[in-house]
Amino acid sequence: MAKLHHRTPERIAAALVLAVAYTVLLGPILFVIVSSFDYGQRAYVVFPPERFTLESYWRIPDRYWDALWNSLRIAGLCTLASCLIGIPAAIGIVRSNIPGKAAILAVFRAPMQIPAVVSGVAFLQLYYALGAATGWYAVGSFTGMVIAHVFAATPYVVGTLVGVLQRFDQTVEEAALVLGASRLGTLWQVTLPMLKPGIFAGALYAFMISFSEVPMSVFLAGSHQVTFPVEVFHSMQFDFEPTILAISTIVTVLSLVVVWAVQRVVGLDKFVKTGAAD
Amino acid sequence: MKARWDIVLLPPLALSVLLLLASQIIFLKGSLHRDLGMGQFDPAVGLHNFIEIFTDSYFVQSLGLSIGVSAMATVLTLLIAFPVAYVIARTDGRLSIVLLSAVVVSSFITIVIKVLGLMMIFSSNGPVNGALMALGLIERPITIIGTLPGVVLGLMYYTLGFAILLFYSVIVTVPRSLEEAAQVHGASRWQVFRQVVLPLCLPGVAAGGLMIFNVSMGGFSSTALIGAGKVLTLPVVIQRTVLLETNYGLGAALAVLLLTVVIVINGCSVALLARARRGMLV
Amino acid sequence: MQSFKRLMGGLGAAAIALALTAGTAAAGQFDGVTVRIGTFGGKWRDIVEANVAKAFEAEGGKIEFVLGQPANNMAKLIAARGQEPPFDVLETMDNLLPQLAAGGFLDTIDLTKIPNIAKVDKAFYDDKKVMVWITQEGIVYNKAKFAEAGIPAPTRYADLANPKLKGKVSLPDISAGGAMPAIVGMSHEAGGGEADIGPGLELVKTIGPASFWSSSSNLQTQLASGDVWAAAAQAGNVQRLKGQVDLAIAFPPVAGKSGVLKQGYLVKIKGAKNAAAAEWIINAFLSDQMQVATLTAGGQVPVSGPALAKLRENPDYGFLRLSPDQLAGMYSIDFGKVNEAAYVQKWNRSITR
Repeated sequence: MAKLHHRTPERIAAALVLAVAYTVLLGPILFVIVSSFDYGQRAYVVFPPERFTLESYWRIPDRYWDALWNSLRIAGLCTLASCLIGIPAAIGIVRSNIPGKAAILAVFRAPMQIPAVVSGVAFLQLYYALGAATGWYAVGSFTGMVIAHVFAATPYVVGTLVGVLQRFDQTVEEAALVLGASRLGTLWQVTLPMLKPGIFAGALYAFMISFSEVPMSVFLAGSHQVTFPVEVFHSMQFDFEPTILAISTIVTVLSLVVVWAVQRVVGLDKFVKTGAAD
Repeated sequence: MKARWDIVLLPPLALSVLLLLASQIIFLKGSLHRDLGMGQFDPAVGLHNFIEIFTDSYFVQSLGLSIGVSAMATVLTLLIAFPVAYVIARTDGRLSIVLLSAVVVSSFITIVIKVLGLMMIFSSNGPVNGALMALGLIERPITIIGTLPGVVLGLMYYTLGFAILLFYSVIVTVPRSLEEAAQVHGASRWQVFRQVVLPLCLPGVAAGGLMIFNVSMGGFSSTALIGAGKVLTLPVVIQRTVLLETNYGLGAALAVLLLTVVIVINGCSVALLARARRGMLV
Repeated sequence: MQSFKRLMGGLGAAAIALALTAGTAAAGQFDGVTVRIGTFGGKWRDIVEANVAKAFEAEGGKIEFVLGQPANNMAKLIAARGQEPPFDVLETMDNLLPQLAAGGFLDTIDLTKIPNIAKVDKAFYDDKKVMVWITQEGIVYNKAKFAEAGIPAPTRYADLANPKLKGKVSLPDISAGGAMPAIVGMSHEAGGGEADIGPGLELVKTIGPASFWSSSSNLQTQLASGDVWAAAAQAGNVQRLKGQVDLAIAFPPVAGKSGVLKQGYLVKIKGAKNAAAAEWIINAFLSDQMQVATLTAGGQVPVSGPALAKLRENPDYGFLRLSPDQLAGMYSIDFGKVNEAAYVQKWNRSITR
């Protein structure tokens, strides 16, 4: 097959787009990492940093570590549950010929546009009403937080997969033709591999939503469990602490390690690339 | 064959409807009652809160502002995310993995911290203003805090990483051979992108675009922090109505308004797109 | 600084000695009792942990924290109406007290069980609420930038309308802790007051600030970077930014007084499970140790006489008003005339137009 070839202006355009996007995405994070090495007993951030020390890292309070561990568990469970709900939902919507598909999709997507403060108060009210009726209070509990996060994260799994399946459905013939595959073979050799990146993106975002959600979680955090971004938010509201930058840097490094580990063990490319489309 | 998919759809649908109704209904039904303060309601059902909303241009203005900034954020995110996703999808080997990893990693830091980073980057003696002034492009330092462009940028932060991953997963389903075939027939890369890739990805782009728009319509954290109290979108107004005014009835009515408008906009977009491409579901 | 450390050590030792010798403090009197406090997070929680929770644990009890901004914690309370409240003791601010009282959330505090109340001015408490800290609100400004630009030091809020300050002024957002003092202060200055904030909102428009701050971390970062030269904010910012920028605070005249006080209170929540220990906790917030830490570690001004007296000896805190006369000379907002919901509505509309 002929290799796709690039022309110089196209290369420049591509490089420019990448440069803008990655500056926007990584700029604030680079700032956080660089500033984390400048520690002072003070309530503000200085950029560029005036010195280099690891002191912020030694001083990270235990509450950040506790919250981080709690957030990882919540986000992990939330991702699992969101995928269990979202994957069959997406396949079901696109493949079935049930009437009112657009309305059904709107139901799945609704949590996205409900302002988080409304969801926070609404879940609080629901949990108290549930508590009054059953004697079991989800307020401030781990379970209560996970349920609310699943509510917020599932639309991302559904949305991503519907996007992928939509594209896929229209070109199923083309793709099968290109590959010279049979109808049945298409399902196993084309559909599932093609869904993989979508599932990966959806799951990743479900994790991320749970891991970075603040405005809803502030209502649902309890005395025994606070999520990491809520802990950071509370600190920022009262007084800035340089240790926030240090723990945020650690989170960035941890996420890099996880990505690297996935790449080494499973192969990230296996996750995100589809063997079928080439 | 088709009935099987209905069965697959029903359990998650039932669960989602239950979760949606159970969580929202207690709060939203407050919109039909006169608020007596501190979360207490007059038991009589009425449209008092909705009348208040529609007789006061302020709320409609706020809704208009929300739609405006969300639309701008959606367009901006689409313009950046789709080309980036395309370039990653058509880049081979290690580099594409590195580029994707960077997107993933960038999403792990909470927006509260990112805003702090943005404040420093756009500080009057920060790198952006330094560079722009050195190039002679601006005479006075620019700021994003308390400005509309800043709020749009903040909303874009919320969705850009997600949009890149979403479009990436859509684009990789387009067989490369189609593009190669087009190129063999003399099409330039740009023509291939515009005439082959884009049309094939249109359903995914539309689905993604609507998602970005929906998320932006509900966006609060970055708007509140970057908007610096000057850009009062509907979520910000709702937050104030509920938390500061403790007017749960009016807050619920505003939430109903926001939800309805977003659903209507979604429905219209779906209808428009369906006309453009028959049988498509977004 | 050395002498100050010694002072701190001495105070700590004194507090421990006091706790050990106090007749009421029989060891283990709160065995198995858990009290939930609704309070701020971050560094403040660490301060409460070190200076209040530790002492309570020595009595056999345990403190749990339900963190949130006062408005958020009030929302939790509202959601729990008619059921067991989410916390037993709530740390809140003056502007929310009328709403909490109207909502019927406040329980009566047995002041006889709070021996430290004797150290506090009688105007600062009653049987529904006990003040534990204050902040002193005025105009925080960057001395060097003002001198550079040839702007005289501000004395009134209206001075922030100086064209040379365009783009360099930040005022508190209506959702910020410093909102009420700034709005009421500006309203008095412009010829209104608590009952009429219209003139104050006009003044806000005349000043035309570059931003309305809601996160103190963000304001401090902007003050430190020189993006903001002047802000209506509390005096604690001067202390927190020491070493980076040379800030000063000006207390504008407000209704015959100067500067405005914002007050932080502890209240006991009606229906709380562990109400019995609430008075003990409130007492611990008024201990000399906690009251001194309120300023040295937390940046808020204490209310107890002995702590104020000790802190007055420290020149580092010379920019604050720590004597009873000075405190009495600062304006306390009359919340009987404040309608917070109406303020928010007027504010939102005034800002949008």
